[in-house]
Amino acid sequence: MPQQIKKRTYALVLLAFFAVCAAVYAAPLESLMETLLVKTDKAGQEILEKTESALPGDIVEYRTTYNNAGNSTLTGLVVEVPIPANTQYLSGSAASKVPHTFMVSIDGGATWDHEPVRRMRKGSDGVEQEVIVGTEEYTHLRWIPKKAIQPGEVQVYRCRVKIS
Amino acid sequence: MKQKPIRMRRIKQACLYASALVFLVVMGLGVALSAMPDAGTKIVNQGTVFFTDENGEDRQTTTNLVTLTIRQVYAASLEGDRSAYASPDGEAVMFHTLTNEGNGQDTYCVTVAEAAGDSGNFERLQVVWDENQNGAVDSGEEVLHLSGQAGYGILTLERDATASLIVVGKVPFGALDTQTYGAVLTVRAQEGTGACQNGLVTDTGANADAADDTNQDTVNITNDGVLAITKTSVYQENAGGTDDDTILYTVRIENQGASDARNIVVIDDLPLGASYQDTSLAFDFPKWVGTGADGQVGEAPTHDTAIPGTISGEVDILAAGDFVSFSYVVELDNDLDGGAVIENFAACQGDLDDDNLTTEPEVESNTTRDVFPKIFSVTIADTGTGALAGVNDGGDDDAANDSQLVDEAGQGQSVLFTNIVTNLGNSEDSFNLAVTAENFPPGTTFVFYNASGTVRLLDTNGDGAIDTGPMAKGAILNIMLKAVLPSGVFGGGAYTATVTATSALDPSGIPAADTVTETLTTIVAHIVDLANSNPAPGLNDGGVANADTPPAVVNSLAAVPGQTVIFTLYAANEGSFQDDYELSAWANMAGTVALPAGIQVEFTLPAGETITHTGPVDPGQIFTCYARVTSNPEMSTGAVTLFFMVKSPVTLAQDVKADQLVVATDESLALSPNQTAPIYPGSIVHYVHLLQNTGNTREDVIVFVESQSHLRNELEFPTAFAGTEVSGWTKVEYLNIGDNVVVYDPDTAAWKTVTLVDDGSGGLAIPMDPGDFTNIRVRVQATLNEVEFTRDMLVLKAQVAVGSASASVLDITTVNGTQLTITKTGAVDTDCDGTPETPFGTGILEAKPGECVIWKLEVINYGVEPICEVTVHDAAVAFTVLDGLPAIISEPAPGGTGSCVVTGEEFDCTVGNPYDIDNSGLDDSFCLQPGEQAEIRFRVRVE
Repeated sequence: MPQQIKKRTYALVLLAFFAVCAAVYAAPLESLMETLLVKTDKAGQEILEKTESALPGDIVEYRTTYNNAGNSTLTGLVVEVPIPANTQYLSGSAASKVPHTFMVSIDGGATWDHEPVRRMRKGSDGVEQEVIVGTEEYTHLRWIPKKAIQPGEVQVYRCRVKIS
Repeated sequence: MKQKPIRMRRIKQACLYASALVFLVVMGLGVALSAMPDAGTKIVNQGTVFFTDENGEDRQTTTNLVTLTIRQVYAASLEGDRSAYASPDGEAVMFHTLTNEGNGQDTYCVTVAEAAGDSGNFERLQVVWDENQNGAVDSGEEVLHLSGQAGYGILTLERDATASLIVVGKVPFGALDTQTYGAVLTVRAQEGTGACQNGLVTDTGANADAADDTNQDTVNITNDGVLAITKTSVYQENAGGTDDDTILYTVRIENQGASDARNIVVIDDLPLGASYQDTSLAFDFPKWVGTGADGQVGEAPTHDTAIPGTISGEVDILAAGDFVSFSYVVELDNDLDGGAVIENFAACQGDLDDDNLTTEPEVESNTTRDVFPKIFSVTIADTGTGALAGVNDGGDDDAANDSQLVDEAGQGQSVLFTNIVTNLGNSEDSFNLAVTAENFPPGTTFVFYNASGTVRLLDTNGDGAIDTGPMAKGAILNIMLKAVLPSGVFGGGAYTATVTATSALDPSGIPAADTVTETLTTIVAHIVDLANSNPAPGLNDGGVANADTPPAVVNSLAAVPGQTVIFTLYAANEGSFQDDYELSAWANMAGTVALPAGIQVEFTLPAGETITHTGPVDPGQIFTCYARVTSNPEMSTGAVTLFFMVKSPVTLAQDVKADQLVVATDESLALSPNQTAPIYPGSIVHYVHLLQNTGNTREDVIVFVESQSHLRNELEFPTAFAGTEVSGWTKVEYLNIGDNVVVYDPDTAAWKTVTLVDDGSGGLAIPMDPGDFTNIRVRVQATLNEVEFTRDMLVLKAQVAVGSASASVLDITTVNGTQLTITKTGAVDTDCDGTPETPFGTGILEAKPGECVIWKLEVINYGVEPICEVTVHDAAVAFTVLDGLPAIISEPAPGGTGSCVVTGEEFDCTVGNPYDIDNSGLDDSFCLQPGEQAEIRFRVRVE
């Protein structure tokens, strides 16, 4: 029961948030991006706190929420989030409860790869060899949901970055 | 000559670093401090989602912008604890470096004090800010603090900046050889609080006391020679840019001691990123080499020809108070990063006590610090590749000429311009992008995207302008500018816009910038054509002629109300670019008047799927669909012209054509219900039926008894109403054309009076509007001689006077076994006073004209069952007329409910009492129980 209540409360808060905050309306799909600072409380439990500032080294979570406010199913969703300058993607932090395919870009969104990203690069010996590109080179993230978004459905996508 | 000590100082001594490359762990933050963004930096982000809507349209939307501001991190270091030598009454100079390693400006509190536990106090102890970093206290350089003075000196450093601090201690004249004098330099950071905080400046380098905030210096008093080495640097920007920049270094070695110094080896490792400029070494040769009087000579400083290499030399003898120097020039590498810090120091070591068996410590100079200038430069250019006539894909339709050319685009389209941005500066930069529309059509919007046109560029640094994001030195970035043309504009051109890329980090008043021109030669109109057939004249002819030109109706289809008809439509894209058209139907050609409320139009694919638009239609492609048109059942008859329209919401290309729906006449009548009833000989039964005009036209309705098998009937029309019920009936035979009957009008929810009309044959017809209804009553009568169990079948029929619509009902009447007799006798009443002069009898009666006859009718129920609706009917026979009213002389008690109704020379008298003969809960009227009788008399006069 507490978990259910928590979920219900979350949903109500979220819907209220859409109503009063600077959510973007492009009927029928409403969208909202939030930044949350990842902290730990005195008990060592992780907590998330909305923030508009951060220190170098902080971990920040970008949470994008989409709400189908229309009366019809919307298909073909592709959700993209840039990894901004002065931040680095935190490996493995991309998440969503929506079944999806996850891809990344290392060239500003021009091309997309599944993880791990492999490229041929010259080593220190001058010889080209295939390497696994580090997550610090990611410029964009992409989630491709495996199902449509139904009327009234809310989908949430998360990722974390570390401030340089 | 003493063996020169092995110098392995290149990494430490010849230090070149860019601020982004130093990694330190400070104050437990565990971050690469010099890689962190400046305090106040804005980190902007925005998500994007692509989706397909319910109409099959591909759409894109972005989230709100979110901005993170980087807060300030404070960190600093103070290098290093020093050990120096000085002679009594001499001066010791110790060099320290304070570095701001945070990500923003900070202020520091500087003091110097006598160390405890040493041999004594300096005669004067002070700390000076060596702003020109020459290792010497120059006139005008600020004395930050004097030992023993209250308060502290203040200096403020920007991020990554350093301050060279010189601690100068004047040794008292009375100091003794081997004594030590100590000084403590303390630097405390304010960290934005305005107050000096303790323990926040890290003590680095040679670390005698390991205490934060402090460097501990030790001056060893000696009567030997004391070497002091200083180094200065002069950065020389020889011409514009940095290609031939040089640094002039000068190294000075002074013997500040009381004794001569010998065999002084000087080592100066050149910094990385620099190379020795040939023949630039300058020095006083004799001073270096000496006279050889002691059997030894020195070595003039020389460069070892390595890159960057080392300059080294050896001074034979340096007398107390004397000095030597040398200078040289280094040429800086052209590919150094802007902002790279070039640090350098020199060192020397010599025999200060004229004893070959002792080794005196090496003495290091101050560290010079030069910053390689940042050059800001950018180019933005066209691609010069990807030319494809008539294709708008971001390619350049001409050669590289600083103009990205698109030869044509469709009206309302997004024109794609690809540009190449190159950071020609020598450090990381970000370039703000701006568009000047020049002569593009008003309403054109411009948006910057990444190279593939899928991700919008953002204002990544929060300065209010869309930018490329950080670009490393020499980086090349392709971007795409989408110019979204306004719908409804075509032709004209060439249209041009100017894109400017401006350095976001260039601090000069005119930051580095470059421009490129975007050119669109012309805008091509979109054309669509709509027709009912394919092929059709003018359809898909490239816009030459219009097929099915309105307002002429092409197809006309008839349907009764509620029926659906289908118009086939063909929409041809006669333009040069793909388009998508919305489907609609209107009552006028302009598409501004909606269809009548009773008309519904549904557009579908031939397979049946409902659609509202065509979806993408390529040039030359024809899209097929159906318009399913339905009129509601209440629709009035007549023709309705339908204007079908296809229209692109983006380009506004449209076409309209006209078809027609003819709503046909629907004649229909309803007559109900079929009924059954028993009847007794001599009685009657009424059947009331509902007649309704269920068609959509006004009809004159004829009602008649089509057939009856056994009994008699009379047809009655309603002629009066009370409230919601019929209250009066009239036999049809007594009605004429022009007489009134009543009909119920559902539109007004009330009965209304209508006039009977000619049915076309002189008969009667009831005019009824669509929906009107009325009641028809059939009166079936059984004579007293009807045979028991006789089954009478009566067909009542209604039909329209013009047309074929009809309806009928069947009434079945069964004669029950009852005996009701009526006996008629007469008596002459000569004076018509109601008193007969003769007895009543059944024989022949003789009466003269003017005389009367009284007839007596006796009705007796001889049966075993009650009989209801007993009505006695009679009439004046020929040559007689009724004289007065018939009267009920007697009837069973309580009576009084019966009455006689005269119609002309006929009459009907009802006798009997109410009785629920069929146990329906309702009493039937005029009932005679078994054995009861009634008497009726009427008088006629002989004419």
